[in-house]
Amino acid sequence: MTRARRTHEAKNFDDRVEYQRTRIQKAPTPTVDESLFKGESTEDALAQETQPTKVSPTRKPAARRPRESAFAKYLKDKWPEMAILVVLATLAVQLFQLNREVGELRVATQSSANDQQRLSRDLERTEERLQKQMDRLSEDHDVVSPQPEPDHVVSTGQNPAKK
Amino acid sequence: MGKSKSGSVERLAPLQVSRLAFGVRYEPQYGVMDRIGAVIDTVLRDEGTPFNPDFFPLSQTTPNEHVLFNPDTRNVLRITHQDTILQADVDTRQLSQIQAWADSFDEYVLQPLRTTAGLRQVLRYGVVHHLTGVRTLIKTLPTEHYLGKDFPGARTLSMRFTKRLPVEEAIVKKRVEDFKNVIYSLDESDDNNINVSLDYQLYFKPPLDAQEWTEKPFPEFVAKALEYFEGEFQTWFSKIASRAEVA
Repeated sequence: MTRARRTHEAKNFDDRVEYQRTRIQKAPTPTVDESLFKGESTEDALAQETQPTKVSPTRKPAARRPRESAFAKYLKDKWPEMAILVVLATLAVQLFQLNREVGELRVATQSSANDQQRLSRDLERTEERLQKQMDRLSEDHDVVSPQPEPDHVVSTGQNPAKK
Repeated sequence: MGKSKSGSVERLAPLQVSRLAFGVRYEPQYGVMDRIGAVIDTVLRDEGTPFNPDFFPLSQTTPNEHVLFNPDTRNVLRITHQDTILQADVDTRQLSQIQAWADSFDEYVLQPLRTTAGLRQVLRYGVVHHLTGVRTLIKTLPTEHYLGKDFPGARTLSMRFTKRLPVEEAIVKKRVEDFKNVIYSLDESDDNNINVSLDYQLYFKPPLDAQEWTEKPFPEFVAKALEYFEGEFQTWFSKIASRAEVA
Protein backbone atom coordinates (compact mmCIF):
# COMPACT_ATOMS: atom_id res chain seq x y z
CA MET A 1 0.00 0.00 0.00
CA THR A 2 1.31 3.44 -0.82
CA ARG A 3 2.55 5.36 2.14
CA ALA A 4 0.05 8.13 1.46
CA ARG A 5 -2.93 5.80 2.01
CA ARG A 6 -1.32 3.71 4.73
CA THR A 7 -0.50 6.62 6.98
CA HIS A 8 -3.17 8.01 9.26
CA GLU A 9 -1.79 11.52 9.12
CA ALA A 10 -4.88 13.66 8.90
CA LYS A 11 -5.60 16.77 6.90
CA ASN A 12 -5.96 19.86 9.02
CA PHE A 13 -8.45 22.60 8.26
CA ASP A 14 -6.14 24.43 5.86
CA ASP A 15 -5.38 21.21 3.99
CA ARG A 16 -9.08 20.53 3.52
CA VAL A 17 -9.68 24.05 2.28
CA GLU A 18 -6.79 23.64 -0.17
CA TYR A 19 -8.17 20.29 -1.37
CA GLN A 20 -11.58 21.82 -2.03
CA ARG A 21 -10.03 24.78 -3.79
CA THR A 22 -7.56 22.93 -6.01
CA ARG A 23 -9.32 19.62 -6.68
CA ILE A 24 -13.06 20.25 -6.43
CA GLN A 25 -13.77 23.87 -7.27
CA LYS A 26 -13.55 25.25 -10.74
CA ALA A 27 -10.38 27.34 -10.63
CA PRO A 28 -7.40 25.26 -9.58
CA THR A 29 -4.07 26.94 -8.94
CA PRO A 30 -1.70 27.00 -11.94
CA THR A 31 0.83 24.86 -10.10
CA VAL A 32 -1.51 21.88 -9.94
CA ASP A 33 -0.82 19.37 -12.70
CA GLU A 34 -4.22 18.81 -14.27
CA SER A 35 -2.95 17.00 -17.36
CA LEU A 36 -4.24 13.66 -16.16
CA PHE A 37 -7.58 15.00 -14.99
CA LYS A 38 -8.98 16.65 -18.08
CA GLY A 39 -12.35 15.06 -17.47
CA GLU A 40 -12.59 13.33 -20.82
CA SER A 41 -15.04 10.52 -21.23
CA THR A 42 -14.56 7.08 -19.74
CA GLU A 43 -15.11 5.69 -23.23
CA ASP A 44 -12.19 7.52 -24.80
CA ALA A 45 -8.92 5.65 -24.68
CA LEU A 46 -5.79 7.78 -24.52
CA ALA A 47 -3.68 5.58 -26.78
CA GLN A 48 -4.22 6.03 -30.50
CA GLU A 49 -2.33 4.22 -33.24
CA THR A 50 -1.25 7.31 -35.09
CA GLN A 51 -0.31 9.38 -32.08
CA PRO A 52 2.79 8.88 -29.98
CA THR A 53 2.06 8.00 -26.39
CA LYS A 54 3.31 10.33 -23.73
CA VAL A 55 5.45 8.36 -21.36
CA SER A 56 5.16 9.49 -17.78
CA PRO A 57 8.43 9.62 -15.89
CA THR A 58 8.95 6.72 -13.56
CA ARG A 59 7.83 7.65 -10.14
CA LYS A 60 6.62 6.06 -6.99
CA PRO A 61 2.98 6.92 -6.27
CA ALA A 62 3.57 9.11 -3.24
CA ALA A 63 6.89 10.70 -4.29
CA ARG A 64 6.93 13.71 -6.59
CA ARG A 65 10.20 14.89 -5.04
CA PRO A 66 13.59 13.25 -4.46
CA ARG A 67 13.23 10.25 -2.23
CA GLU A 68 14.24 10.91 1.34
CA SER A 69 15.36 8.31 3.79
CA ALA A 70 12.81 6.66 5.99
CA PHE A 71 14.44 8.15 9.07
CA ALA A 72 14.40 11.69 7.65
CA LYS A 73 10.80 11.27 6.66
CA TYR A 74 9.94 9.92 10.08
CA LEU A 75 11.63 12.93 11.69
CA LYS A 76 9.83 15.30 9.36
CA ASP A 77 6.47 13.76 10.11
CA LYS A 78 6.93 13.37 13.83
CA TRP A 79 8.97 16.45 14.76
CA PRO A 80 6.47 17.81 17.33
CA GLU A 81 6.44 14.51 19.16
CA MET A 82 10.23 14.30 18.93
CA ALA A 83 10.60 17.83 20.34
CA ILE A 84 8.35 16.99 23.27
CA LEU A 85 10.29 13.81 23.85
CA VAL A 86 13.61 15.70 23.90
CA VAL A 87 12.25 18.23 26.41
CA LEU A 88 10.90 15.47 28.64
CA ALA A 89 14.18 13.59 28.43
CA THR A 90 16.11 16.73 29.41
CA LEU A 91 13.80 17.29 32.37
CA ALA A 92 14.20 13.68 33.42
CA VAL A 93 18.01 13.92 33.28
CA GLN A 94 17.98 17.13 35.32
CA LEU A 95 15.63 15.55 37.82
CA PHE A 96 17.94 12.59 38.12
CA GLN A 97 20.92 14.88 38.69
CA LEU A 98 19.06 16.87 41.34
CA ASN A 99 18.05 13.68 43.04
CA ARG A 100 21.65 12.54 43.12
CA GLU A 101 22.79 15.83 44.60
CA VAL A 102 20.13 15.60 47.27
CA GLY A 103 21.34 12.13 48.09
CA GLU A 104 24.91 13.30 48.38
CA LEU A 105 23.84 16.14 50.66
CA ARG A 106 22.01 13.70 52.85
CA VAL A 107 25.07 11.51 53.11
CA ALA A 108 27.22 14.51 54.01
CA THR A 109 24.72 15.66 56.62
CA GLN A 110 24.58 12.23 58.13
CA SER A 111 28.35 12.13 58.32
CA SER A 112 28.42 15.49 60.09
CA ALA A 113 25.88 14.26 62.59
CA ASN A 114 27.99 11.20 63.31
CA ASP A 115 31.05 13.34 63.84
CA GLN A 116 29.10 15.51 66.19
CA GLN A 117 27.99 12.53 68.24
CA ARG A 118 31.49 11.21 68.39
CA LEU A 119 32.80 14.57 69.58
CA SER A 120 30.10 14.74 72.25
CA ARG A 121 31.07 11.33 73.57
CA ASP A 122 34.74 12.31 73.61
CA LEU A 123 33.87 15.42 75.53
CA GLU A 124 31.92 13.47 78.10
CA ARG A 125 34.75 11.05 78.60
CA THR A 126 37.17 13.90 78.96
CA GLU A 127 34.95 15.52 81.55
CA GLU A 128 34.73 12.27 83.49
CA ARG A 129 38.47 11.86 83.48
CA LEU A 130 38.90 15.42 84.59
CA GLN A 131 36.45 14.97 87.42
CA LYS A 132 38.25 11.86 88.53
CA GLN A 133 41.55 13.68 88.49
CA MET A 134 40.08 16.45 90.54
CA ASP A 135 38.58 14.01 93.03
CA ARG A 136 41.90 12.25 93.36
CA LEU A 137 43.69 15.52 93.86
CA SER A 138 41.36 16.55 96.62
CA GLU A 139 41.78 13.19 98.41
CA ASP A 140 45.53 13.52 98.29
CA HIS A 141 45.29 16.95 99.85
CA ASP A 142 43.31 15.55 102.73
CA VAL A 143 45.98 12.93 103.62
CA VAL A 144 48.93 15.36 103.55
CA SER A 145 47.27 17.95 105.75
CA PRO A 146 44.92 16.21 108.15
CA GLN A 147 42.36 18.47 109.55
CA PRO A 148 42.99 19.52 113.25
CA GLU A 149 40.45 18.33 115.76
CA PRO A 150 38.29 21.14 116.68
CA ASP A 151 38.74 22.76 120.31
CA HIS A 152 36.06 22.46 122.89
CA VAL A 153 33.77 25.14 122.45
CA VAL A 154 34.36 27.84 125.28
CA SER A 155 31.83 30.15 124.08
CA THR A 156 29.23 28.63 126.38
CA GLY A 157 31.13 29.83 129.58
CA GLN A 158 31.56 26.52 131.33
CA ASN A 159 34.95 25.90 133.27
CA PRO A 160 36.16 22.64 132.09
CA ALA A 161 38.55 22.31 135.23
CA LYS A 162 35.73 22.35 137.68
CA LYS A 163 34.39 19.07 136.46
CA MET B 1 -24.73 -12.71 -17.24
CA GLY B 2 -23.99 -14.20 -13.86
CA LYS B 3 -25.63 -13.29 -10.55
CA SER B 4 -24.59 -10.07 -8.90
CA LYS B 5 -22.04 -10.73 -6.17
CA SER B 6 -22.74 -7.43 -4.49
CA GLY B 7 -26.10 -8.68 -3.23
CA SER B 8 -27.92 -5.39 -3.75
CA VAL B 9 -31.63 -5.25 -3.17
CA GLU B 10 -33.47 -5.51 -6.46
CA ARG B 11 -34.41 -2.06 -7.59
CA LEU B 12 -35.15 -0.41 -10.88
CA ALA B 13 -33.30 2.50 -12.44
CA PRO B 14 -35.46 5.58 -13.02
CA LEU B 15 -34.62 5.45 -16.71
CA GLN B 16 -33.83 2.73 -19.19
CA VAL B 17 -30.08 2.25 -19.53
CA SER B 18 -29.46 1.34 -23.13
CA ARG B 19 -25.70 1.06 -23.10
CA LEU B 20 -22.98 0.78 -20.47
CA ALA B 21 -19.32 1.54 -20.54
CA PHE B 22 -16.81 0.54 -17.88
CA GLY B 23 -13.34 2.04 -17.97
CA VAL B 24 -10.14 1.74 -15.99
CA ARG B 25 -7.19 4.03 -16.71
CA TYR B 26 -3.70 3.37 -15.43
CA GLU B 27 -0.19 4.67 -15.84
CA PRO B 28 1.36 3.47 -19.12
CA GLN B 29 2.56 -0.10 -18.69
CA TYR B 30 3.93 -1.75 -21.81
CA GLY B 31 4.21 -5.08 -20.06
CA VAL B 32 0.43 -5.34 -20.37
CA MET B 33 0.81 -5.66 -24.12
CA ASP B 34 3.55 -8.26 -23.65
CA ARG B 35 1.11 -10.50 -21.76
CA ILE B 36 -2.09 -9.52 -23.53
CA GLY B 37 -2.43 -12.92 -25.18
CA ALA B 38 -2.74 -14.73 -21.86
CA VAL B 39 -5.17 -12.09 -20.63
CA ILE B 40 -7.39 -12.43 -23.70
CA ASP B 41 -7.38 -16.20 -23.32
CA THR B 42 -8.70 -15.79 -19.79
CA VAL B 43 -11.33 -13.28 -20.88
CA LEU B 44 -12.61 -15.52 -23.65
CA ARG B 45 -12.09 -19.02 -22.26
CA ASP B 46 -12.19 -18.92 -18.48
CA GLU B 47 -14.94 -21.02 -16.93
CA GLY B 48 -18.07 -18.97 -16.41
CA THR B 49 -16.95 -15.98 -18.41
CA PRO B 50 -19.77 -14.08 -20.10
CA PHE B 51 -17.25 -12.60 -22.54
CA ASN B 52 -16.93 -15.79 -24.54
CA PRO B 53 -16.47 -16.04 -28.32
CA ASP B 54 -20.22 -15.69 -28.80
CA PHE B 55 -20.11 -12.37 -27.03
CA PHE B 56 -16.94 -11.27 -28.81
CA PRO B 57 -16.61 -13.21 -32.06
CA LEU B 58 -13.95 -10.93 -33.52
CA SER B 59 -10.51 -9.88 -32.33
CA GLN B 60 -8.05 -7.30 -33.58
CA THR B 61 -4.50 -6.71 -32.44
CA THR B 62 -2.29 -3.69 -33.00
CA PRO B 63 1.00 -2.80 -31.33
CA ASN B 64 -0.78 -0.52 -28.88
CA GLU B 65 -4.05 -2.31 -28.19
CA HIS B 66 -6.05 -5.45 -28.40
CA VAL B 67 -9.74 -5.18 -29.28
CA LEU B 68 -12.51 -7.75 -28.94
CA PHE B 69 -15.76 -6.77 -30.60
CA ASN B 70 -19.09 -7.87 -31.94
CA PRO B 71 -20.23 -5.97 -35.02
CA ASP B 72 -23.85 -6.97 -34.51
CA THR B 73 -24.29 -5.93 -30.88
CA ARG B 74 -21.64 -3.19 -30.86
CA ASN B 75 -20.05 -4.76 -27.79
CA VAL B 76 -16.38 -3.81 -27.53
CA LEU B 77 -13.53 -4.62 -25.17
CA ARG B 78 -10.45 -2.50 -25.76
CA ILE B 79 -7.23 -3.04 -23.81
CA THR B 80 -4.27 -0.73 -24.29
CA HIS B 81 -1.18 -0.01 -22.24
CA GLN B 82 -3.09 2.83 -20.58
CA ASP B 83 -6.81 1.98 -20.67
CA THR B 84 -9.20 -0.93 -20.46
CA ILE B 85 -12.71 -0.13 -21.71
CA LEU B 86 -15.75 -2.35 -22.02
CA GLN B 87 -18.80 -1.08 -23.93
CA ALA B 88 -21.95 -3.14 -24.14
CA ASP B 89 -25.61 -2.75 -24.94
CA VAL B 90 -27.62 -3.73 -21.88
CA ASP B 91 -31.15 -2.30 -22.30
CA THR B 92 -32.19 -2.69 -18.72
CA ARG B 93 -33.62 -0.82 -15.80
CA GLN B 94 -32.59 -3.46 -13.31
CA LEU B 95 -29.73 -2.13 -11.28
CA SER B 96 -28.79 -5.64 -10.24
CA GLN B 97 -28.02 -6.44 -13.85
CA ILE B 98 -25.79 -3.42 -14.13
CA GLN B 99 -24.05 -4.52 -10.93
CA ALA B 100 -23.67 -8.03 -12.35
CA TRP B 101 -21.96 -6.59 -15.41
CA ALA B 102 -19.54 -4.81 -13.11
CA ASP B 103 -18.85 -8.02 -11.19
CA SER B 104 -18.12 -9.90 -14.40
CA PHE B 105 -15.92 -7.13 -15.75
CA ASP B 106 -13.93 -7.21 -12.52
CA GLU B 107 -13.62 -10.99 -12.36
CA TYR B 108 -12.90 -11.83 -15.98
CA VAL B 109 -11.11 -8.74 -17.24
CA LEU B 110 -9.57 -6.72 -14.42
CA GLN B 111 -8.37 -9.58 -12.25
CA PRO B 112 -6.51 -11.28 -15.13
CA LEU B 113 -4.94 -7.94 -15.91
CA ARG B 114 -3.81 -7.65 -12.31
CA THR B 115 -2.59 -11.20 -11.83
CA THR B 116 -1.43 -12.21 -15.31
CA ALA B 117 -0.26 -8.89 -16.71
CA GLY B 118 0.86 -7.41 -13.38
CA LEU B 119 -1.22 -4.30 -13.90
CA ARG B 120 -1.09 -1.66 -11.15
CA GLN B 121 -0.97 2.13 -10.66
CA VAL B 122 -4.63 2.69 -11.40
CA LEU B 123 -5.47 6.33 -12.08
CA ARG B 124 -9.20 6.29 -12.70
CA TYR B 125 -12.40 4.26 -12.58
CA GLY B 126 -15.31 5.24 -14.80
CA VAL B 127 -18.81 4.07 -15.71
CA VAL B 128 -21.05 5.61 -18.36
CA HIS B 129 -24.83 5.19 -18.39
CA HIS B 130 -26.39 5.92 -21.76
CA LEU B 131 -30.12 6.48 -21.47
CA THR B 132 -32.84 5.86 -23.94
CA GLY B 133 -36.52 6.77 -24.22
CA VAL B 134 -35.77 10.23 -22.90
CA ARG B 135 -37.69 12.16 -25.57
CA THR B 136 -41.03 11.01 -24.30
CA LEU B 137 -40.22 12.23 -20.82
CA ILE B 138 -39.03 15.75 -21.69
CA LYS B 139 -41.77 18.26 -22.29
CA THR B 140 -39.65 21.06 -23.75
CA LEU B 141 -36.93 20.41 -26.28
CA PRO B 142 -33.52 21.58 -25.08
CA THR B 143 -33.08 23.71 -28.20
CA GLU B 144 -36.21 25.58 -27.27
CA HIS B 145 -35.43 25.89 -23.61
CA TYR B 146 -31.77 26.84 -23.81
CA LEU B 147 -31.66 28.61 -27.18
CA GLY B 148 -35.23 29.70 -27.72
CA LYS B 149 -34.61 33.35 -26.92
CA ASP B 150 -30.95 33.81 -27.93
CA PHE B 151 -30.83 31.56 -30.99
CA PRO B 152 -34.30 30.73 -32.26
CA GLY B 153 -34.65 28.08 -34.88
CA ALA B 154 -31.77 25.95 -33.65
CA ARG B 155 -32.07 22.37 -34.89
CA THR B 156 -29.50 20.56 -32.79
CA LEU B 157 -27.86 21.05 -29.43
CA SER B 158 -25.04 19.32 -27.58
CA MET B 159 -24.38 20.10 -23.97
CA ARG B 160 -21.70 18.69 -21.76
CA PHE B 161 -21.12 19.89 -18.22
CA THR B 162 -19.05 18.52 -15.41
CA LYS B 163 -18.87 18.72 -11.67
CA ARG B 164 -16.35 17.47 -9.15
CA LEU B 165 -17.21 15.88 -5.86
CA PRO B 166 -14.96 15.30 -2.85
CA VAL B 167 -13.94 11.84 -1.67
CA GLU B 168 -14.08 10.98 2.01
CA GLU B 169 -10.60 9.48 2.13
CA ALA B 170 -9.15 12.63 0.56
CA ILE B 171 -10.92 14.87 3.07
CA VAL B 172 -9.38 12.94 5.93
CA LYS B 173 -5.93 11.78 4.82
CA LYS B 174 -3.19 14.32 4.30
CA ARG B 175 -1.55 12.96 1.15
CA VAL B 176 -4.58 11.62 -0.65
CA GLU B 177 -6.13 13.86 -3.31
CA ASP B 178 -8.77 11.58 -4.84
CA PHE B 179 -11.89 13.13 -6.26
CA LYS B 180 -15.01 12.20 -8.22
CA ASN B 181 -15.91 13.74 -11.55
CA VAL B 182 -19.39 13.56 -13.08
CA ILE B 183 -19.99 14.42 -16.72
CA TYR B 184 -23.54 15.09 -17.89
CA SER B 185 -24.19 14.97 -21.62
CA LEU B 186 -27.38 16.04 -23.32
CA ASP B 187 -27.65 15.79 -27.07
CA GLU B 188 -30.60 16.75 -29.22
CA SER B 189 -30.37 15.54 -32.80
CA ASP B 190 -31.97 16.86 -35.93
CA ASP B 191 -34.86 14.43 -35.68
CA ASN B 192 -35.65 15.60 -32.13
CA ASN B 193 -34.15 12.50 -30.63
CA ILE B 194 -32.58 13.23 -27.25
CA ASN B 195 -29.70 11.32 -25.79
CA VAL B 196 -28.65 11.74 -22.20
CA SER B 197 -25.70 10.12 -20.50
CA LEU B 198 -24.00 10.20 -17.16
CA ASP B 199 -20.26 9.52 -16.90
CA TYR B 200 -19.32 8.90 -13.26
CA GLN B 201 -15.58 8.82 -12.59
CA LEU B 202 -13.29 8.37 -9.61
CA TYR B 203 -9.74 9.71 -9.89
CA PHE B 204 -6.99 8.33 -7.68
CA LYS B 205 -4.10 10.44 -6.56
CA PRO B 206 -1.75 8.82 -5.70
CA PRO B 207 -2.51 5.95 -8.08
CA LEU B 208 -3.60 2.63 -6.59
CA ASP B 209 -0.89 0.04 -6.24
CA ALA B 210 -1.66 -3.67 -6.47
CA GLN B 211 -2.77 -4.05 -2.87
CA GLU B 212 -4.88 -0.89 -2.81
CA TRP B 213 -6.54 -1.99 -6.01
CA THR B 214 -7.82 -5.13 -4.27
CA GLU B 215 -9.10 -2.99 -1.41
CA LYS B 216 -11.02 -0.68 -3.76
CA PRO B 217 -12.73 -3.14 -6.09
CA PHE B 218 -14.40 -1.89 -9.23
CA PRO B 219 -17.86 -3.32 -8.36
CA GLU B 220 -17.97 -1.19 -5.19
CA PHE B 221 -17.27 1.87 -7.28
CA VAL B 222 -20.12 0.94 -9.64
CA ALA B 223 -22.47 0.53 -6.67
CA LYS B 224 -21.66 4.11 -5.64
CA ALA B 225 -22.19 5.26 -9.21
CA LEU B 226 -25.62 3.67 -9.24
CA GLU B 227 -26.51 5.46 -6.01
CA TYR B 228 -25.57 8.75 -7.65
CA PHE B 229 -27.50 7.78 -10.74
CA GLU B 230 -30.62 7.12 -8.67
CA GLY B 231 -30.17 10.20 -6.54
CA GLU B 232 -28.60 13.43 -7.73
CA PHE B 233 -28.74 12.61 -11.43
CA GLN B 234 -32.41 11.70 -11.22
CA THR B 235 -33.11 14.95 -9.35
CA TRP B 236 -31.57 16.95 -12.20
CA PHE B 237 -33.36 14.96 -14.87
CA SER B 238 -36.69 15.36 -13.12
CA LYS B 239 -36.30 19.11 -13.30
CA ILE B 240 -35.63 19.21 -17.04
CA ALA B 241 -38.29 16.60 -17.67
CA SER B 242 -41.02 18.45 -15.83
CA ARG B 243 -40.16 21.88 -17.19
CA ALA B 244 -43.14 23.63 -18.71
CA GLU B 245 -42.93 24.92 -22.26
CA VAL B 246 -41.20 28.23 -22.67
CA ALA B 247 -43.71 31.02 -22.96
